Amino acid sequence: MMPAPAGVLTFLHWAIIVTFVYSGALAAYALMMGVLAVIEAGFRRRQDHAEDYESVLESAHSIPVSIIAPSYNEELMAVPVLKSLLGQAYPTTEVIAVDDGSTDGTLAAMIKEFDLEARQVFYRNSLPTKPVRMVYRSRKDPRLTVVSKENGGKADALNCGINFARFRYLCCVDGDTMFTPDAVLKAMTMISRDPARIVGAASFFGISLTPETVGDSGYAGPTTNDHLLGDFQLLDMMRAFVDYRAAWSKLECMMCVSGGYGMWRRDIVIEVGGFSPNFTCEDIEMTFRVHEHMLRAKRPYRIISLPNLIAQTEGPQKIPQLVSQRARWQRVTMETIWEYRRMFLRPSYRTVGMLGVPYYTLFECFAPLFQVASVVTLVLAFVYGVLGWQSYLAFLGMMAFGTALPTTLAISLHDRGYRDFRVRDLIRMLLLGPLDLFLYRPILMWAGLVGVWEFMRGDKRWNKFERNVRPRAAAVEA
Amino acid sequence: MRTLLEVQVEPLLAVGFVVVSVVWLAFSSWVVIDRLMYDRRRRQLGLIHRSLSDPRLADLSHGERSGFVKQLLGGMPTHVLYRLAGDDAIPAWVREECARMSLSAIGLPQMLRDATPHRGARRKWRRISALHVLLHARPTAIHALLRAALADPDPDVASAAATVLQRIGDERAASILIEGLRTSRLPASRIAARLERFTISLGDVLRPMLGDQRAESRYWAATLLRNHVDEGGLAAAIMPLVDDPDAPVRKAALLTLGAMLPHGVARVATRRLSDPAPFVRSAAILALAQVGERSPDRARRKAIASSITPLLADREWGVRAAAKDALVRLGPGTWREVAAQLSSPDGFARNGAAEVLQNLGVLDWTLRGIASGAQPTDEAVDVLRRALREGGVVMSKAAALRSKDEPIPGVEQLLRTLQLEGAFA
Repeated sequence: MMPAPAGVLTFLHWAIIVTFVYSGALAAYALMMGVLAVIEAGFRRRQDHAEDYESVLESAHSIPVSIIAPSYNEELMAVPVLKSLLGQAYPTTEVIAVDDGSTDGTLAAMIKEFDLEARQVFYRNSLPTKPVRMVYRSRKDPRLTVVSKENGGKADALNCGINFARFRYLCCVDGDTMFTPDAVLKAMTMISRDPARIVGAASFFGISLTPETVGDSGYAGPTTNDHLLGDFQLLDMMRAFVDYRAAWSKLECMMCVSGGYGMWRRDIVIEVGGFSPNFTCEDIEMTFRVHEHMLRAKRPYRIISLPNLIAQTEGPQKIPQLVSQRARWQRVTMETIWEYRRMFLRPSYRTVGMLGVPYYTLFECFAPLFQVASVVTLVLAFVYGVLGWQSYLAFLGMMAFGTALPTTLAISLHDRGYRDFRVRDLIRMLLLGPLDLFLYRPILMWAGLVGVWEFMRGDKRWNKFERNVRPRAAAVEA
Repeated sequence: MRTLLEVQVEPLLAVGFVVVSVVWLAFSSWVVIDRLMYDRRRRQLGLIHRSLSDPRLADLSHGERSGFVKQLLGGMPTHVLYRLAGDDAIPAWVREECARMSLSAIGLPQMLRDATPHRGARRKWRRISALHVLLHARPTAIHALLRAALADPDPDVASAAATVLQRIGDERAASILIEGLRTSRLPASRIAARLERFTISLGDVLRPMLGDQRAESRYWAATLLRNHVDEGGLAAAIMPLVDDPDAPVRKAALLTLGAMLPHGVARVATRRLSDPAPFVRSAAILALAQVGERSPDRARRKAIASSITPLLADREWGVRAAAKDALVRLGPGTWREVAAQLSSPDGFARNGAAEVLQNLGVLDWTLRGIASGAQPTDEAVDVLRRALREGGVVMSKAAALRSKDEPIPGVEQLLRTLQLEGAFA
């Protein structure tokens, strides 16, 4: 043990106590969310089993949906994604694919696969966007419109798609996300129960290193990735959607309708001025803006999160790519919180102001800083002998298993609802839970710090990660 | 300080570690065990399903069959029997057996009590299960119970009631659902979806509603009659609703008449092209398109196109879009009527007409004609030139791109000859 000055020791003592208090607060929050998630999941499960999806599927009164799929340099994924969208089991949909000025063969791949024909289409200019270069209609499937436009970012591409959309509900998706055939049906059935109030809806989507397998004829449900990083990301998403967002949904403060899959009511999106290109990502900011808009106007509304696993999106395969992606998420969270800081602890914004925004501020924005401070404190405490090694190990162990509990809860709730993962996948996921703290959290912590730094610098880049290596494609090439 | 950490916190850490790790281990084990038990139950159920689906079983007498089913399902917990009673994947007679077994396990009085208005979430799901089981038992009180359930403020209960009523499928059930269109908290469209699936004709039940004082009732009556053939003067009864004071009713009447196509529908729809409500104008356009599409009379289609083309200049986007769609549906035979709008003082009308001519294939046809030396008429060339001008650079570019799909020689040169070189800027 190294001797330490008395001042340092006093500081370390207090720092350790602050660390324990912060961890305790986080645990209390997780416990509260867990209880709410159990209640919400049970309710949704029973609701799902009692639902008569067939009548919605066959009804002429089902609410039509415009699906908007922006893509930028998605040569590999654009066609499978559009096929999964055109294969939706739902009475009336249109698919608007927006090619945001790709520099690869994205547009050419779509033209070839869907037998696209160039057309002039005079559309509503409800939202300003970068100029449209050309519009294509599919000869194979009249429901498909492809818009080729100048590059302006995802928000701009979504706004462009909204200008072309004919229907009241918009399903905004990512160009690298593959959907199960019931993705729209599940969300719209829930929305059709209360279409006057539900203005936004999200649903759980998994992370896969090769999401296009969802479109395979032999697809038998989700599986783990047999790749540590991929599986940690899958568990991360499962925790976020099945535990936390379900609980937020119950508390009426669902703060993020993800860009991977989000249902929005068109009139509301137009009212708030469309997706903003001034932020790094568009999804969380839009959710905050809609909350603020509706609460200020004192209009009844709901934004819900559904537990159904309706899609698989591509997750980074390598650590630098993951750091880059998560740094972007951290950055946009901070940008959004800063922009909407006026809602912080304001009772007029109800649970959004009193719970949602404070949560994001304390446990998302400042999390990387707290985490780094905690790690440094504990290491120094150990080095200076303030904390005995037994206590140090006990704390680490408690944190490892404690942070694994929300993961176990999410796995349990998902499995009880859908029984879609194989038993061996369940066991793998459960065992990965306690390892999360040592193998995955440090990466996220580093990504968070990078994100904080990028936010301070005013960085707004998207940092799109390179597509993962496909075993099948590699085999074909060989 | 040291005392605080050593005395208060450090012992707690050891205890905390043991407690949290044991909780994690127990919880994780339970997740796996629960899943294994579920899989075992599912295998058993699969076996039962396969046995029950054996066609030879249907040939047995009722008593023998019942005995066999009871033997198979005897060990099943009541809640599984409940679920099987509402499972569409197994034969109807098996569902009935399951319902009977659930009833004998629980008893009709208790089942009827379960199906009555509830308090609390647990009772709510029991109520829903009971309603499904009672569908097979059909006690005399079932309609009353379902009426109460449909009016329940809980949308899950109301939704289950609507499903069971649709499965009962008799006239009383239809009447309850129709009443529910007005009274239930469930969105009317969800109830209408169930009414659409009735196999019996609802004409007689819905017809009196056409004269109801409430606009909502008239709307749904007119809407739900859309899939009915025009029998017994049904269309004649709907026709007056085209002039209803309530705009949604006018729209519903137009759409239904457009589907039925009775005599005189074109006349009333044409009158509604100037309706103050944009969605009524759109419905009138759609009805006219349906009339024109099915009419073999070219002159009639042209007349219909002439009445629709002015709406290319409508102030509402939805009406303009409906007009464009309708004109394309009427086919290329009406191109002159569409082309006339290229001279409209309204910009929407001009570019809408250009878009319709493009989608009708008129532009490609003329280009192909010029390229092949077939000498299209001056009128056709003039329409091509004006349409491409109104359509803007993108339209000319699109025409050039299309010509590459189905090669038209020298299209770019042709467009330059027509002074449309802007397309290649």
